Amino acid sequence: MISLPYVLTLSGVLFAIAVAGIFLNRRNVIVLLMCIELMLLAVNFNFVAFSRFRGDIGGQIFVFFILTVAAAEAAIGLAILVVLFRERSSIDVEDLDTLQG
Amino acid sequence: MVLFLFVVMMLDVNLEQLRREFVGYWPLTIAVAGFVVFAIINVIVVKHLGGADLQTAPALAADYSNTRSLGVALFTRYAYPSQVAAVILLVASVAAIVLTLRQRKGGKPQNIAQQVAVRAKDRVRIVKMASEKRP
Repeated sequence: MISLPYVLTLSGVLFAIAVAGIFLNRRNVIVLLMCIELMLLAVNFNFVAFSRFRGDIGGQIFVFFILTVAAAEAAIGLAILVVLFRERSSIDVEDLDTLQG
Repeated sequence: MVLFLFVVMMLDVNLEQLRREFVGYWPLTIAVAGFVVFAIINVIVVKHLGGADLQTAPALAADYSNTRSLGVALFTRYAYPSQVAAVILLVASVAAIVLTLRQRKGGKPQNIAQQVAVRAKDRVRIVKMASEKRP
């Protein structure tokens, strides 16, 4: 039987990989979106694990809602990305300096 | 994930340039990721999750169906939130289409409103004239 600490550690490692991806790759917007997606999946992993180990089905329901929001976010983010690519012919983060931020 | 693949196919990205710029922030990356892992391990192993006894999962009945209990919970207790989630998905898909739709230049689309609103007098012109004599 897999105990909870192993599952939580795996989830934490997944999250750390996502954070490392965001820090390493500051160029490509697609990879940034994928890393955010991976973070959400790590959190989902936590939710399912606690739901199972506490015997409460609510955590698994909440995963559905997180997935919904993640799907909406990915759809709109990728749409914005497509528009951006048509405008600039580039998806480099460094090129997005119109607002002088 | 499939959506990502579609977008990767749609965009013609210069991969050489992306690969060349990949290195750069290694020390900061390792520090931040290591800190995240360390914090999580600390909570789990050293603090034992605040003393909660969660080492073993509760035993389930032999005929327990996770799918069934998920469905029951989703359609009874969480029926309203799931409808809100459906609306969120609808809005997101409409927004994605609106953002990426583009009108082709030089196309000749139908203007339905104009077609419906047209009257006979706009199309047919009746000209009264005297009959002409045969030469």
